[in-house]
Amino acid sequence: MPALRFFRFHNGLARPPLLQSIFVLRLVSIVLALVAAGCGSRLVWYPPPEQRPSLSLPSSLPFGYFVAMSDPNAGAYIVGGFRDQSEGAWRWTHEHPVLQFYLPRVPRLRFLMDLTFPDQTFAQTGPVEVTIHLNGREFDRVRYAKPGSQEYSKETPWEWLRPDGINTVALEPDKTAPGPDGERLGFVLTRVGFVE
Amino acid sequence: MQVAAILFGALFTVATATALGTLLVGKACADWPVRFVAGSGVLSFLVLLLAASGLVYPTTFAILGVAAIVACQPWHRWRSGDGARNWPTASIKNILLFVIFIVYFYIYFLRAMAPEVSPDGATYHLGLTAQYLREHGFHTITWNYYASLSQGMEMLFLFAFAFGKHSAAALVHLAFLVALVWQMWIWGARHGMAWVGVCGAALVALSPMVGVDASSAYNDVALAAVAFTLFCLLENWAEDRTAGLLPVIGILAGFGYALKYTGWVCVAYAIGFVAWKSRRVRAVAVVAGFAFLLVAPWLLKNWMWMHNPLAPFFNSYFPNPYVTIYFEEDYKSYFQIYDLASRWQIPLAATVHGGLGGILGPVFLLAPLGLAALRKPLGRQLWLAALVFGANYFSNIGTRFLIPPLPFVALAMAMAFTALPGMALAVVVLHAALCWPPVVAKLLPTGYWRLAITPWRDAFHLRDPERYFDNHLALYPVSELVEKATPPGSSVLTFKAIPDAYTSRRILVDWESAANQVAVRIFQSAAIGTHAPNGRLRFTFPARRLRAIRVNQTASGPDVWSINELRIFSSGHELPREAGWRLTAHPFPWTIQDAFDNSPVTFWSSGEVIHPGMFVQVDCGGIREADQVVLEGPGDQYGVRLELEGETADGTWERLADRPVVSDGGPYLGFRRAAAEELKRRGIDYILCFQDEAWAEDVRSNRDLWGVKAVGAAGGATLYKLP
Repeated sequence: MPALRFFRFHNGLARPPLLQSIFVLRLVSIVLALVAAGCGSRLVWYPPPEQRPSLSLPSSLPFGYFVAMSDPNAGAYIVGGFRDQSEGAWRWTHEHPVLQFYLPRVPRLRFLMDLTFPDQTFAQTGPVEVTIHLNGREFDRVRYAKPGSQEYSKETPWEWLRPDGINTVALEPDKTAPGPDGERLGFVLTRVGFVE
Repeated sequence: MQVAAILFGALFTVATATALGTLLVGKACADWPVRFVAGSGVLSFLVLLLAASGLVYPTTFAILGVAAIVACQPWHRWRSGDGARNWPTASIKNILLFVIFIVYFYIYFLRAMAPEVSPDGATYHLGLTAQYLREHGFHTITWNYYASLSQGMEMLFLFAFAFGKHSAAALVHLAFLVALVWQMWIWGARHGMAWVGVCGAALVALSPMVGVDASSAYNDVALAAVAFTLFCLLENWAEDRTAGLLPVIGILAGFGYALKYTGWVCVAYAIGFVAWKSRRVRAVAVVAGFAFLLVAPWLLKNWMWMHNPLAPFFNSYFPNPYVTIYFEEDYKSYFQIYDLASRWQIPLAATVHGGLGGILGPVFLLAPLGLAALRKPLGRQLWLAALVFGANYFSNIGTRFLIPPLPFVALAMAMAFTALPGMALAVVVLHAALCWPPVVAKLLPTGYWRLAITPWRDAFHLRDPERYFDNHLALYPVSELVEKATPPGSSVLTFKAIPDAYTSRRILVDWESAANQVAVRIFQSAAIGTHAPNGRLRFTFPARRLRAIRVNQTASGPDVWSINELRIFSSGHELPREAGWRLTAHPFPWTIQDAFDNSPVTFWSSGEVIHPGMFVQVDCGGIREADQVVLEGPGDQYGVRLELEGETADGTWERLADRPVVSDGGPYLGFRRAAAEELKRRGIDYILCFQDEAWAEDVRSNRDLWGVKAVGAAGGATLYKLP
């Protein structure tokens, strides 16, 4: 192969083929080493950055403006009217469920809740009307004519609320169904609170 | 005056390229197409050097051009090429084809002269070109991956743009079609098949895809011209072994790569061909060396600025913070199939339906007949070249990616057709009829890229261009709004690529960089709740004295793992993040600080789909007692599986928890405002919201919560100023 016999010693002895020369082998080794180094997973370390102001409420408060029933701290929001234990991501309400929230001063708030009327209880109660009280005042009445998951959301004027203070929310179903332990079951609550 | 500037810009560029090509090629080849195409490679390289040196000024270009033209002494050197000595006779069929060529090229010329409205030309091809001119050269651009592609064509555009703006650049691209057609005819004539050359050239030149591409500021036809010129030069060199051709071959091969990444096959073809034919290292080294000269700057530029010489691809080999592997995989997988159900749909989509971005023309359904040319050695060479230059096609099946191998296929078809008397002419006339723009308009649904006959008043800028833009570039008013309503130096985040060739502001398009994608996700998580950090993953374990903790991801799947905040607790109290802490992640460590900045709007993301071996690690810089680790992040990472390890006081790693308890943390108050402020902190001044976007209504109706101010609206978009 002419290509592999490109160089010859001056004394006439044949050099090794070019692609097998020490130079080429060294070059290939270096390139492979560099590539391997470049492809390696060397860790890059960083210090913690500057800390931003918190969007959460101060951790000294036991509750905030919104709660999901899957939150291990959900009990802190409940004033009464719920089953004692959580069923995981949701909780049964009884006849007079009441919750409490701490509301910071922000431009606008909406009251939001995700609730469910299971088929089994709905078959006994039929359509249910839920009355929502904010800080003791009737805020809204909502009629649920079908079982299943529902989302309720409504703008909440500040005159109904106490900024930088504790606010209570009562959710009263007009009908409940008998539970297995003789308790009265209203609906299933998943998430509730105030959002922007 | 504008028309004069356009024509001067284009002609001066072509003349300079031709002069440089003449100096380069010398007596080795007298054909204008070879001189122009090879000289374009040299000019592109010289402009690149000027751009790298910060010397991009019309004056430097003028000096360069005049010097090249004077040095080549065209008044002494100009001679006709070999093919030019064999002008076709004035037969009826030749006259007919000549008329067809003239009519089509006039349409292309009008289109190129008119304001640039092509999708990529009006965005990144000329957007970046205009930026280089404004900034007098290259500056680091990490926010637009298009800037990482090889930009050999943009360098030619830059030369023309400096004098004649957008249309001059498009005309330069059109010059490559002229060179290609001319070269195909010369090739045919040289082999005693001038009619084959002419018919093949007609099949290519009249193709709707080729026409619209060539008359726009694109690069596909230029690559086809380079590929075919390279093919011809290699053929010439194989015949007479003129050593002087080898550097030209190398430059052409390298220019192929410089024009477009898919042009790497030019380098492979040239080196392979010369190696096969010569079996000499020296010949191969000359070709490879000159090719590398034109390839290396683009590799180097990307290595320096993007940490990846092949950016925006091969990110798994060259991990970098600018383009994620997830994006690359997503991008590649789309372009490998587009919206087709099967690759068997490609032939009809690329020739008739247009589902791949345009059509070659129905006549190319007859391409398999060109296989008949395999009976002859020349036919076999053509098909081999077609295979080589089409080797990349299945990485992007867009119709225009068929342009580089098209000349070879067309010539093979013409060889087959000329076997039957009158057949080739009939096919070309049929092709001309089917490719006539109004006919193509009936074939292609609205929205696909096709040529329209440009009114000459628009082409010669005798009417207000606004009207032309209204009909051909729907988002032009948005660019105009951005230019008028924002101060110089502003950055605008948008979810649609607006024609940034018509604004001097920095346009940050959703998908065009990892940073843009992060910004978009921050925005969308606040506007529509996509990937909102409502999830809480809580690892609880008996209190331990630990040096470090590591969260391992153990599953595989399509999810991308992300963490908005990682907090470590002891007895219910969060451990403060001390200066001595050290943070890392694998993969994508560059944004890990965003999971430790106490802001729920920022986040670390793995940047690729999940697989075992991913982790996030915190070294506490000493021994700390802890009993809980909480990850705040999107609640929709259903495929992610996490476990927690800790490095104990004695330096051993132990598993602390097999899995976290998942809960819903609920939405944050003030999230929109925090998101807007974070975007501002990241250097974004404005955001564009189009009416049809899911988040537009949220921003419009919650401007007070976002803290944004609407500063104008146009083209269906509202421009908001961030707080």
